[in-house]
Amino acid sequence: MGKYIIGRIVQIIITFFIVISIIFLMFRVMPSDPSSFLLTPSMTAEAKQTIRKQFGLDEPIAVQYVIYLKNFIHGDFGNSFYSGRPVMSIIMEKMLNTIFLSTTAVILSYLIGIFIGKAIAWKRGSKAEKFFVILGLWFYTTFTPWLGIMFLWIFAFKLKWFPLGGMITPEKWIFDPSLFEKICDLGHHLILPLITYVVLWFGSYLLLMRNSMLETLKEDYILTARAKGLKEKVIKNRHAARNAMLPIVTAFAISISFSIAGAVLIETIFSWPGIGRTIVEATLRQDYPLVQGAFAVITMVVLLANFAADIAYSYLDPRITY
Amino acid sequence: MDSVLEIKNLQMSYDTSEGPVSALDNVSFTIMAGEAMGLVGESGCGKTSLGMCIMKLLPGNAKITHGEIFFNGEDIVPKTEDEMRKIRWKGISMIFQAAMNALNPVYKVGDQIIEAIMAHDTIKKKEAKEKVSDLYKLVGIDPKRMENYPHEYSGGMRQRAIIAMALACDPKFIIADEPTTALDVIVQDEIIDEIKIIQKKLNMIMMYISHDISVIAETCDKIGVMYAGNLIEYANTLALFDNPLHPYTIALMSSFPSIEGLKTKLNPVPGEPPNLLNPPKGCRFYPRCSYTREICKNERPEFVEIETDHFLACHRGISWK
Repeated sequence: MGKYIIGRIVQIIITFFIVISIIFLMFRVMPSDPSSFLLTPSMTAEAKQTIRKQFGLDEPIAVQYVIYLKNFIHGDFGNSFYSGRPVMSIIMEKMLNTIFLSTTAVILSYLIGIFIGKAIAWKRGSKAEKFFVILGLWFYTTFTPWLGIMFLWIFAFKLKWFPLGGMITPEKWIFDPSLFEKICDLGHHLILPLITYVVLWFGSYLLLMRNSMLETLKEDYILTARAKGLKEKVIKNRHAARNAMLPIVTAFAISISFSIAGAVLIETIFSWPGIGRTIVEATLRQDYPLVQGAFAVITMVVLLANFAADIAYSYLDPRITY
Repeated sequence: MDSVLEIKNLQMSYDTSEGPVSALDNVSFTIMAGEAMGLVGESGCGKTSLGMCIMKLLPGNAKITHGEIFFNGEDIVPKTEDEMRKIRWKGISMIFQAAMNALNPVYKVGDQIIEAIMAHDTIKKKEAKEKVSDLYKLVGIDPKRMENYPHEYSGGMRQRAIIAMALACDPKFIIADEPTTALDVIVQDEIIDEIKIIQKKLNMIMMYISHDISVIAETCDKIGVMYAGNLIEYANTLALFDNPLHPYTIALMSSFPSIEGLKTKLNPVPGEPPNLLNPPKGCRFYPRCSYTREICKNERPEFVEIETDHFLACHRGISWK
């Protein structure tokens, strides 16, 4: 086990190194100059050169790469070209907002999907099963922006139940509201994007869990459990669902990492100030340090989540030893 | 002697997309207290279906269409799932084949046996554990191995653990469904001996299902021969070997090698079993039988006691008397 963990950590470091190198190259081959945002034609050539020098863009690519790696090792992602703020602090702030929305949504969809998937697999052939399979497939394949815009239009624009976007109502926060009022305001903004997210995502878990559960129910040890005269609930939860969950754990790790990467579409539609939207904006502005930093952090999260899933697996399934 | 299991005219079919498959038809027999009955027949003849009928663990598309299964004097056919749950393992338990995934891979073997005990008896976990420890000694496994997972057992040990599990609730009746089929002959022999000893020691009745008539002959007091969902002959082991009456039984015996006597050529039974979606109208064996007469094609032979304790379903047998 110890040897395996060390091996995996080395693997993670190598993968991370390869990914950040690709990120570096990707932005260098993009056909335009990031300094063009700061430069105006009226500037003198000298002023232009000063600015380029300030950002290190006058160095040859190889030198830029070495500086880039050196800074990365020190945990320094540089400052945003656009806002001038340290990249790390921007990422952390946006990441928190994203976790608040997407990670909550992933966990909720996961729990709902597994609960329903388990129940309908047990009642195979029932009307409820057909209903939920169709519903799950329907939402799983729904075009995200369409559903998001429909929800916005119906619940925010027409019915005015929810705000049209954003994370908070700035006017309310000026006068130092109580914690309770803050939470209410945040919750009010959170509900619609959260529901959209859950509706779009629970279907995949539901179908996954149902299929896995149906496979498990065919196993001989389920027959043994029935023959032993165990209660239905015990057979369903302790014997069937426990084993059916094994492949779903991996799916969860992947989803958690995707949720950190941000739901770009949902964040854009609901103007949620999360990491997904930040990446889109930063890419459009050619804000190298910010995009590089964001990608690096997301890469790390994906690698660590998968690592955690592997470790969790060995605890859930005694047949797996490292 | 009391009869512990009595089956009368049992009929069961599976609903399939192509129509009902008549998996069991006209099965009647009795097992007396302390007896071991062997059920022999080729694959797909309904042996396991019969076992599952008695446990009432049939899949959703299977239905008992006719007949009664008396266990301890009570007909279990009309019993509900809830009532059956109390009978399972405590009244009737089952030895599964170890090659099957009969043990749940994610739980310790000992815990899976404790689970069965605690589902039926209100005892403390510690006492249940002690009982499992005793059972392990009985079947010849080191009780320390309770803490291991199924994949850490060898095939023979897994089979022993499954036997221990089947005995966990002191059942009155045990169904052994091909318990040694996947094991090598040496381990097979050990396990068979063990089952035989335990069955006599605990004075249970047993139904031993196998396609291997030699294994059955070694273990059982009585033998039932099944063919295409019918029980065709049922007699004491010795009587059946000395005087097999059904042409299928005779054919079955001459298709097995014997280590005694002269080397003779084996005679496999020609042809193949009928399609049970549309079984022959008369005797189900007539297309493969070398004694076929007109009556065999049209009339189903009754299952009757042709000699004391020797039952037979064959027109030839009846006309002999």
